[in-house]
Amino acid sequence: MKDNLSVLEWLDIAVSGIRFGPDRAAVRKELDGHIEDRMADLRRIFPNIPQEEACARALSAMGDPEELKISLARVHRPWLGWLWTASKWMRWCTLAAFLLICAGGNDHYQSVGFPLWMDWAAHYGEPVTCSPERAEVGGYTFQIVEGAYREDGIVLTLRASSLRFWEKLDAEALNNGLTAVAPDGTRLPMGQEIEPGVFSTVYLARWDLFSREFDIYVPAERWEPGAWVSLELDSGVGGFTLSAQVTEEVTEP
Amino acid sequence: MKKRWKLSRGKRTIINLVLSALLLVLTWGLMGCPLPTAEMEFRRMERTHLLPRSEIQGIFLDGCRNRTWQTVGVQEDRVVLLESRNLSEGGSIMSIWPGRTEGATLVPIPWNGSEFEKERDIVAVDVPEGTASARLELNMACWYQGELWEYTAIALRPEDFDQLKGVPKRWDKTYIVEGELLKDGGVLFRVVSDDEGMDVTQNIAGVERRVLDQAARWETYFRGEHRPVECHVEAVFFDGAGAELGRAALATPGQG
Repeated sequence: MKDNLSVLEWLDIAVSGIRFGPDRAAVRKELDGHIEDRMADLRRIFPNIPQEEACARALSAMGDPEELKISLARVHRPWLGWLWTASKWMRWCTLAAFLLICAGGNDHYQSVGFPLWMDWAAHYGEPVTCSPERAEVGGYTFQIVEGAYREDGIVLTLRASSLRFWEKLDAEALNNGLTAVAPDGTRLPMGQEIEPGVFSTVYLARWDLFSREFDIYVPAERWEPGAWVSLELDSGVGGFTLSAQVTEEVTEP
Repeated sequence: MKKRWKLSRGKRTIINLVLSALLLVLTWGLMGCPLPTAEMEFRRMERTHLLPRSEIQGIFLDGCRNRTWQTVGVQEDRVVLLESRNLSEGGSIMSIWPGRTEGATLVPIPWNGSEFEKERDIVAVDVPEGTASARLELNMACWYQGELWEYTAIALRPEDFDQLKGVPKRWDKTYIVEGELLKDGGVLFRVVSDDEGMDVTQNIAGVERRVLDQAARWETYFRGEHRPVECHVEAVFFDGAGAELGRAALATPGQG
């Protein structure tokens, strides 16, 4: 028991300079193993050596515990250990929070409150090819990405994109400042009554992490393939005019 | 025996931190990217609505039961208001008061959907420089049918009621409210109802709360004869010595 206490005391002194707990435990275990190995070697060489003497010789060979304490403290800085422990906790906590938010919705990967992406409107027509032009207003990039003639009008899809995924464009910004110009030159500001009880408006059709796409309906009784239609924006931070040729007609079944 | 390959503690720490940051951003996005202050939320709404930058003249907690942050900003020809709401409550709501008068402008804080609220707020922007105190006088008048504590109809004229259901009675009340000076320059007036005779369990709000509810609805001040109440609001602004610096008024059409 006295020998064990001596070994324990030696180990306590040697690792006391290591402030990070898991490192201190690991080094202590390793040193203890070295001491046991030395004692076993001594017993093999001197089979009749008393236990106390074997212990004392082994500890003597390990060196001064106070000097070892200083050396180990210099090598094992605590901040990396604490940072590693904190990062492990952070990883599990953020994963739990993410799964909790996802579980709150009716979709495997997104919350029903604010899906990161959604596509809930029909696609009208192929992407227009004659007007790849883009406009930059208010930090957003605008582009007409789809267009087709349907029933008595043209449906255009306007995309607004930005790397600022936390500031997606609101449909009201377009409803307040957008004007559609039909092929025959008729101007249709958004929010205008186009027939009793029916107003021209911008509809949010789909979105992803960095963009939103809005459908705009432009009445056009007469249409010919290749007719030009324009969207003009006049806002408090700037404006644009984008034009596109609509070449496709979509027939509802 | 082949040694098991293991990343160093430093690399494992970096991977954990990167993963945590990514998960945090995704979680923040799923929650609607909430921002920590009402001012930041207001600025974001300006950008997403393609509005020019406003001069913020007031940020305050309104008097509704949910205690919502309200932010008021002025632009060249209008006043912009933002009601900061959680995503679970439908998200923040931006309203634009279409007029900005010469001198101070009075703007009712928009109706939040409930006529049971005890307090309605009105904010004054562009108040005279040197304003140390302010007083608001709100007069509301209408006709009502039924008892004070029952579900009553309110209307602008007695002839608007079904006379077979009882004789319409006149409601006419004036509120006098002292203003609170806001840090950013505006003045807030909190109009509080004395009506305690409401029964939430039966969805009945007394006459006073229903009439006061109309003061917060913007259509009250823009509608013609279809509005149910007459409303006249006037604010007076004083300097530190009590001298009058200016006035502002807001009224339903025809009241002037």
